[in-house]
Amino acid sequence: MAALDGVQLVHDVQDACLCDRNGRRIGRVDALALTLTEGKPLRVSTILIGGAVRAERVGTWMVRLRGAIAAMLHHDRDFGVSRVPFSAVRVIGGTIELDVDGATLPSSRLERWLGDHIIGHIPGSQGENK
Amino acid sequence: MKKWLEIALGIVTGIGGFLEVGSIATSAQAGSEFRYQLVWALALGVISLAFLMEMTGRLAAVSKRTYVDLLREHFGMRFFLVALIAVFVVSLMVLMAEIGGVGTALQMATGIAFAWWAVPVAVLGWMVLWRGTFGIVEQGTATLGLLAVSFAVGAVKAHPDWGALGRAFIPSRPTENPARYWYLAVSILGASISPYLYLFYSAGAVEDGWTQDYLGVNRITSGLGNLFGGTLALAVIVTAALVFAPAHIQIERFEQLGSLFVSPLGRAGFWLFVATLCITCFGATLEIALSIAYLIAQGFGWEWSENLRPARNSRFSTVYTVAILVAAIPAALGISALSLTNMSMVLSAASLPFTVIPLIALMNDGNVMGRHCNGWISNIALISISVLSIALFFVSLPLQITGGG
Amino acid sequence: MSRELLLSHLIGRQVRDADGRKIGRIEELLARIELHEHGNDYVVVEFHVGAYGLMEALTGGVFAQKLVQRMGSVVGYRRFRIPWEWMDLSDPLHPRLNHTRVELETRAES
Repeated sequence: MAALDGVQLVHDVQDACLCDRNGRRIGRVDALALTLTEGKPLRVSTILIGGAVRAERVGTWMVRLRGAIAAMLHHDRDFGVSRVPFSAVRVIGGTIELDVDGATLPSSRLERWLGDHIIGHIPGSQGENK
Repeated sequence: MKKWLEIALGIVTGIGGFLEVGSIATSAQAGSEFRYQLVWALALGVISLAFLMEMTGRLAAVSKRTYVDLLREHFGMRFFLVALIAVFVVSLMVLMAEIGGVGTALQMATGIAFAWWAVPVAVLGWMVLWRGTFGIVEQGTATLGLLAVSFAVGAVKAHPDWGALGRAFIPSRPTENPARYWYLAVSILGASISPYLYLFYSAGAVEDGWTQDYLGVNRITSGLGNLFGGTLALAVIVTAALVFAPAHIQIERFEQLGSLFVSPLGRAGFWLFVATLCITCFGATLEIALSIAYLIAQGFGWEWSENLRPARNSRFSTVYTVAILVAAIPAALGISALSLTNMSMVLSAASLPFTVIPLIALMNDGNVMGRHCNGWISNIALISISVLSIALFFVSLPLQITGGG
Repeated sequence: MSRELLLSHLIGRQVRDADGRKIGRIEELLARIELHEHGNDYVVVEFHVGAYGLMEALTGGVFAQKLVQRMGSVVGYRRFRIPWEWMDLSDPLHPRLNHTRVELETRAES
């Protein structure tokens, strides 16, 4: 990424794959939040990762469907969405590297839950590489 | 030296991995009903697949990203969702057919109905994916699948008319039953150019850490591997044309294929067919289950690798686990492998535009491919395959209705 | 007072000039690092507005941008690079320029 030339937010950032400080993939840039202040340029403030914001990119029908699922699971509409400050971005390349621990993010909740409650209990699942 | 070993392994994978329930069933039906007339469809399918695999392999080696990864990033969420649904549905159906294929082979060997084999086969497949590395999955069953070379031996021993066979590479119109003819042509194309094949190949290139140094390996393995593999499917057409067609045998059950190679190879022909069907379908089961997991994980940016322990990528391992167990259900309920195969091959053909057409953009994007963008030959091939995929999209459903039988 | 809006809400929006004439649709935002005493931020310095940005809004990816740009001169496509200070986002759903199209074209040519 050439920071001096500028970053194209649609081309370089939106939908790009994200990895955390440990090199683990943690999702994609499902949405990008910008801060609008009168008299100042738009500031790229937050990367949003997770189902609810992804659903909005598809359409209102998907948002409603997801909302219904959230209600069934007794979660609020924004459950599982991670908000990562754009200041955590270290490198913008083919993959965007973030200075966060992906395991602590709300959008990684399903990964953790499956690992802790189901996958992790099956013999042969633990360890690093096969 | 290592490169030559890679090439050899790649060709072996192509040979042993080409045949599976779809190519065996469609080739046998084509041979028994239309003799050599549909050889051109197989040739077209093999050449198209070779080009698509070379391109997705080159894409992965140069960009170090998989095709699915780039598809999501360059085409956005909405398009990706459409492609995801199309490929997922088709892949799951083919997976169901493959498990049915393994079950049928075991039924032919043991006499125990295939429905009883469905769940044990799925569980065994899951265990291999759970414990095995990508190398084991890709190369293990493909190496065993070299048993399929016996098909080529059988076809030669059946003494085909080589002149007539050679002429059959040129497309011809059907002499009778056009709806059935074109239906089988579409089925053969769907069996040969299944999206899971080149999506899996692209993911595999990243799993194996391919770099630009592997471009030559990629070209040889995708070309020769599919050429040799396609020859084995051709052997099925030829033998069916010589064994079943003269007796006007219509293939309505998979079990009928047990006698396909008995005439040229004796009793061993039966066991070679059963073993080949079992191994190749099992290999395809593993590949397709992984391919479905790759599709979803890469599309959503989850951690994924067949070389990681399952708990390190729990969403990825959950997807292939659920996919393989759900896919066992139709066979466990007694639904015949042949019906599942016929329907899934046509749907596979219909789903092609969603994964073929986007390649035009990616393979010509200098930011992605650097100086390894498509040349004019590859572009002509890709555009031709794209036009073919659009045609298949429109004709598949009508032909399923009129020629599906 | 600050408020937050999503990139996806801006992309594909029709942009009008100070006289209310259509310019095109927002296709891309270019951001650069701005250094200040409290740290550094990425701020949007340019809006890229194109005549056929609607395709971008429909497919939502890079491909549409590039296709339309490549077809550019053939189909009469035109893309403007608009500096941030020319864009009035007081109503983000209806972005407006605080200059006219003529001024925009003059700037583009120079």
